[in-house]
Amino acid sequence: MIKTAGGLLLRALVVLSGTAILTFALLWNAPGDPAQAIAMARFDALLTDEVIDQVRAEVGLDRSFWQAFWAWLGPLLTLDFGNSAVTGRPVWPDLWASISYTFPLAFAALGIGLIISVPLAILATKRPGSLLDRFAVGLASIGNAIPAYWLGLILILIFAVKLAWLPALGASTPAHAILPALTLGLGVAASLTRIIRSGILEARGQPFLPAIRRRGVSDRSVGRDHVAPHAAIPVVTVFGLELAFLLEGLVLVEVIFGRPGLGTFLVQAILSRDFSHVQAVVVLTALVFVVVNLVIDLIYRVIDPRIGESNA
Amino acid sequence: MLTVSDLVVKRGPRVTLADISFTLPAGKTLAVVGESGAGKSTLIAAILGLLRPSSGEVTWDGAPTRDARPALVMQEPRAAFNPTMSLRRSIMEPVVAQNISLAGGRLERLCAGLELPLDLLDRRPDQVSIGQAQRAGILRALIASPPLVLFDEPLSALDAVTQKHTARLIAELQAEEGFAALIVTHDLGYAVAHGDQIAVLKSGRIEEIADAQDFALNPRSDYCRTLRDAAIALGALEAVA
Repeated sequence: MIKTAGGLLLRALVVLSGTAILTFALLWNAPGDPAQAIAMARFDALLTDEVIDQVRAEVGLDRSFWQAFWAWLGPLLTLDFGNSAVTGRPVWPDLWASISYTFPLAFAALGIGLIISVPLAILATKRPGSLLDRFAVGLASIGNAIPAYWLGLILILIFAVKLAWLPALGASTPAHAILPALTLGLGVAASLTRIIRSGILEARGQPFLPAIRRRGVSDRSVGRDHVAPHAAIPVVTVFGLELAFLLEGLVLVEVIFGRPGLGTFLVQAILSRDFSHVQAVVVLTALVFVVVNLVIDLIYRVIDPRIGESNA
Repeated sequence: MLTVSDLVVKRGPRVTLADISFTLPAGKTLAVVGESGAGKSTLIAAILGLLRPSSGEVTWDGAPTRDARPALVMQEPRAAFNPTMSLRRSIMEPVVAQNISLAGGRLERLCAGLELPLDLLDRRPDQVSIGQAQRAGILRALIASPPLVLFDEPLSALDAVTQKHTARLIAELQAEEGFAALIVTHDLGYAVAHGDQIAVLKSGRIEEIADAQDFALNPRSDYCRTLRDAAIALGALEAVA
């Protein structure tokens, strides 16, 4: 067990440092003069070469790649994201402000996805092939096919413009989060419904079930002890992947709904070549992924003890 | 007593079982022999009540068989268990579900009878041999003392030595426990050696049903005679008459 946890942590560490180096290298070698971009973002005017060189030296862009990398990584190890080259302010408070908008939205979307998909899939699989089942599959297919930005605009059109029930733009009240959360959540619900449904159907076909069917084991126990755990493995996998798509969707949705948040934060940082901002978002995203994968790995092992065994 | 009367099972337009009737008294063994596709597995599913017959009836002592909580021993020993659970948990599942309090030492006695070390039960199905998994499957079938046990090709996944061994253990336990056994097999030698009665299933119909010895001596239909002679030629059945 300790060996397992150690291995998983080591893997996490490799992914994190790889991501850090790769992002830094990509940004460092991106076309265009970063010093000029930063200077323009900072002063919002055309500038002389002197000013640009001054910015270059100040931000540390005149150093070698590795010097600059270590200068960034060192403080990062103590969770110090440094200062923004553009605003000069520390990165963390601004990043935290964005997170405080984005993470609740992401959790709301995942929650909506689960609240819709779990009951829908369970109802659908009560009688496979029934009208309800086909309705659920159809709904899920449509949901999967609709892009988030289109759904977002349609929801704005219906609920904000026509019905005027909900606000469309901004993030000043909790009501502002409803439409963006729905936009993301419906997509999550669509793919989860499909995977939970097929997971349950497949789990019901497990070969050992006839051996216990007439032994007094209730349908409920069969569902709980045999069907649900087997169906859970693909669901857990997809749930993790869903989180990845969600981060991608968040960028779009935040822009559509004019919400502050990680997506908006990242787009602005990229446009103004704000290295420390971009890197902070990427490292944070990688950290989220690593933690999610770690948790998923551990859940797998709880569900199926064969997973991760060296002799399996 | 298991009573199957005028059982018909249709799947779509295809008749998989037609006019099946027989009885199996408590404590006795009926061996159902037939080639692949003869309807053996369908018969098991119908007796367990896992599929709805088109017509006819299957009862145990006058009530639906499911009330008797019949047990099933499956063909593929490892696939017969939830792969993520310990054998012990799977074996005890019917006991827990039926809320039975086992007589003291019953598990140990059955384990001894099946030559299964007790600590083996804490392993998962992939951590024991096929033969051990099959004996664990038999243990699960017998643990809650069912009056009727169905065996679906119980030996076919085992090697020759293990087959003989397992067949002997099944017979010994049946003598002790007194359950009625319906054994589906394609091995006529095994059927004749261990069955009180033999039923030959062909294309969903019972071709012949007879006492095992009578059948071995004097099969009535041409098909059954061919079957018997083939088994003798293969050495699966000792030459008789």
